[in-house]
Amino acid sequence: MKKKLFSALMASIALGATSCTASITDGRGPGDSLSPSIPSEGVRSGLDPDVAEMAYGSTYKRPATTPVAIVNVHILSAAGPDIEDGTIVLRDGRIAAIGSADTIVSPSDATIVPGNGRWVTPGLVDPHSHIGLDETFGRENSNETSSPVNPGLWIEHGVWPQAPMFERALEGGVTTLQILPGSAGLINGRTVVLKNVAATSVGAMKFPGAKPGVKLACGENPISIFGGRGVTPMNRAAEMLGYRTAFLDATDYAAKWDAYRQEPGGGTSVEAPKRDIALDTMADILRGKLNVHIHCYRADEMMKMIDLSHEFGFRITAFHHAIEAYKMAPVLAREHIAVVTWSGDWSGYKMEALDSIMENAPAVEAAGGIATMHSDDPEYQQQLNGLAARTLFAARQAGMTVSEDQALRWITINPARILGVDGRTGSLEVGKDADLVLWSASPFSVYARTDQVYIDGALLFDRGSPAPFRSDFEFGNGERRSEIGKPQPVPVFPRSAAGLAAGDAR
Amino acid sequence: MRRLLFMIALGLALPAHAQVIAVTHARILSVGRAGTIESGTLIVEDGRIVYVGPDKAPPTDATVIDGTGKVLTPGLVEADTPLGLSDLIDLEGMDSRQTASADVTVSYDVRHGIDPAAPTIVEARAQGVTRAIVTPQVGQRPAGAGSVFAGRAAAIELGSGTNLLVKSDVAVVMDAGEAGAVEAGGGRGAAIVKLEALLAEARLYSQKKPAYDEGRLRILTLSDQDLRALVPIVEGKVPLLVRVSRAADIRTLLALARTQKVRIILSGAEEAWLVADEIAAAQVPVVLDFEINQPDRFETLNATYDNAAYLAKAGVLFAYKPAMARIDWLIRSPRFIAGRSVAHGVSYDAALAAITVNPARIFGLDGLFGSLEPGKDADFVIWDSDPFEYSTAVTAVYVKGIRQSLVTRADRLRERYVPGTTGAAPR
Repeated sequence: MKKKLFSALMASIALGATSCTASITDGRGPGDSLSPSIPSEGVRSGLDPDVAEMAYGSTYKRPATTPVAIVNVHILSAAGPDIEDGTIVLRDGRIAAIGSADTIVSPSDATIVPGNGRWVTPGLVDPHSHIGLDETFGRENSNETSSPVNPGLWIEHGVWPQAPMFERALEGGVTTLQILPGSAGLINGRTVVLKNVAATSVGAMKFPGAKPGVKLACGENPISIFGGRGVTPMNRAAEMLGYRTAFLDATDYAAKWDAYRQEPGGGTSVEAPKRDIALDTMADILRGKLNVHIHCYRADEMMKMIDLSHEFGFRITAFHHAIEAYKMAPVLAREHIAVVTWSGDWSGYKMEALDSIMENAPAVEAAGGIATMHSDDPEYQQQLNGLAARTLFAARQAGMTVSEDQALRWITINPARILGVDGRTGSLEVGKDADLVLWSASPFSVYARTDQVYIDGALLFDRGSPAPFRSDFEFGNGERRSEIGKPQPVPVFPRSAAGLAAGDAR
Repeated sequence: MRRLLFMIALGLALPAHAQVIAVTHARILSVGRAGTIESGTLIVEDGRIVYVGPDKAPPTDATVIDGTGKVLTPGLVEADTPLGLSDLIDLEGMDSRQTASADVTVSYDVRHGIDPAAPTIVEARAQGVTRAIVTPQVGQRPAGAGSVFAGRAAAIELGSGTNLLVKSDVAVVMDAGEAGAVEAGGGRGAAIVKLEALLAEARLYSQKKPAYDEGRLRILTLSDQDLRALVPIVEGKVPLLVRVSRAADIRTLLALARTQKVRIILSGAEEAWLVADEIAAAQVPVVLDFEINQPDRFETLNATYDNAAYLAKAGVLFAYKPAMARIDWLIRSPRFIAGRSVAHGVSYDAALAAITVNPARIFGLDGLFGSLEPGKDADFVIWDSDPFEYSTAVTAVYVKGIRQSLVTRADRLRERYVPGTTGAAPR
């Protein structure tokens, strides 16, 4: 109820109807005639932490689509065995049917997309991205470097929906992505999960129902940013003091609000605690309302952060980068903490990143944990499948057993789980959002390109009929001749020991 | 100990005295006159290639490697890379790629910072890289006379000896475009005017050396060592490797090279495709960063993955930089860049040339390496399939006929922590 009213309100705000006549409710009653600043009872809306969640809610609308049947494709669903000759039917933004060609009849009203033996996977999910923040020409938006503790920062308020990298990520197959604040400080603010769609406001990109997250960072970055200026944290021990102090304040704050909420009559008899936006985020960590994402490289530092979570009673969702996760894989499995990492090519650029190995993700999973790839970078973001492939084959060459399905999960359903959207995306199953990629070749081939990318059943990238640039910013850029840049023939080579068949490259 | 014995058993990293090696029945991608040979033989004597062609019986004293089912290519060449220079970026004292010194600009010389023990050497080698053009970058220093210059580049081999230097002074590196403008004190106008003035100074210095030495010449803005390093540039003996992005800046440099009679190599060159025909007509080579398709600066608004395909079509001689060469250890990727470029319009053979013979040719070293041809150093890689594919493993790497260790620090870590894995696995 509350939610519905607020969505309607926010939709009108998104359309520019933000005049003083706009009505607002604090959600405690019907209240559509109430002014924004005078709720009927309890606290004023701006002073109520629960209102913020709704005020900045998703205004994403599923686009109207016509049914599509993609036929004769090799389906890697991330939800079961490969389907060699499969059909997948998209209707009303959802996956309506999926299976082998002999079990699925293409509906008569569907547009048929002939796959000709090409590959289909779920849309890729990047759980760690900063696009929309830093490529906004001369404006660093990912870090608030004025102080090391900024939990009140909502990074969505820094995202530029016109950033040209969104459509490049889309062409790379990325349909869902989490934008995080940077790692300059100890606690860097709230993250946001987006659908990779064109929009005027960031709210219209927000993945409906995604659990919000918060980003913490350990190690060298906060020390180099703040220690370099002679302010805390100047060393790793001071970093721990910084987190502990922040969580102590949060515990106190959360307790006050909880006590107020438990008052009979909705807290009318007692004055509401003073709201603090930074402490709202911290309290939500303690209440389990936020996914906790921690940038951390070294095993010993991840262990310290686990100790911190035990001291204050919160759960860590994932360690990001986590280059040394393989050194403590059983602990991560026991604590149910996911590992968000790269293939080991990305390493050695700072002291805490020296001990990177190619097989980090499969080593974590061999111990019973869950791993994903991430980009953290606009170049890598366009080749998440390549990261998964590098790791897959390196692990096989080192003697590990890793399936292509497992590698696909590193870039689809596993990150979707970490972002709390696995019920909607990340695998190809009937009823889920029709977020998927049609590839020119096996996604584990270096030659693979995306031919089509769908989000909620809408064809948003089609190499066969390229759309004009989505970002206004790119109007006026050079026109490209269409015959250039097409995939060139690849000679047939013997099958490698790691096992990609020659035909997979075409 | 076990590893040492194993390495000795394989003959790894031991000098080859009058040694004859033959690889037989391999699919050879020679990148040279022999082209592609479906089943061929490579014969090496004393570290040099003496035969590459259809299968023939190896000499009786040869160590024979059966290449059946395997693919043989020249060793890969990284162009414009920090390989072997620094273990970490931006760490004082450890970064040998740059200086903040104001009187060592053109003359900064990377050769003195090359460390044969750098872990990056074996990391790159394990992905088939046998040679590199190691380049400096412009350090943080106040805008002064030569502040757009990074210094002198060098060619190295990725062998296991104590001296990896192949040739010093293969280029002088400088920034143009936005970076060059900032380093010059602001504005492209300043950067280009300064560059022209410095080239004039170098000519004057070279022509009137005795007067300079006796203090009878007007005061020159560059230091003596910087002037000396700039002389081969104005004489056209050493090329300028210019980091540049925008099409308009490329045009400016082409014109400058013509009027100043200096040789240039474009590096980065994200918008080169817009002026591909002009670059081809000027016979200026390009070392391009294939991974850049981000319009994240105003000078790269037109960056596209199709850049290389346009240059290929126009007939420009081009090579690929290692991906994200800005991150020091991300140097294992030339073969994947080449593969990705095939998916973006570059022919397979042209992509292979861009990571082998082309960088050698661009820096004047193709007489030594870059292709499998008689007379060249025996740098070669044996692969178990298509060298560009993610799934393909490196089976063996030879530098000057000597088989190299491919065991990296990361392999040792993995062996320690990940049960059931082995460091001796093929790459």
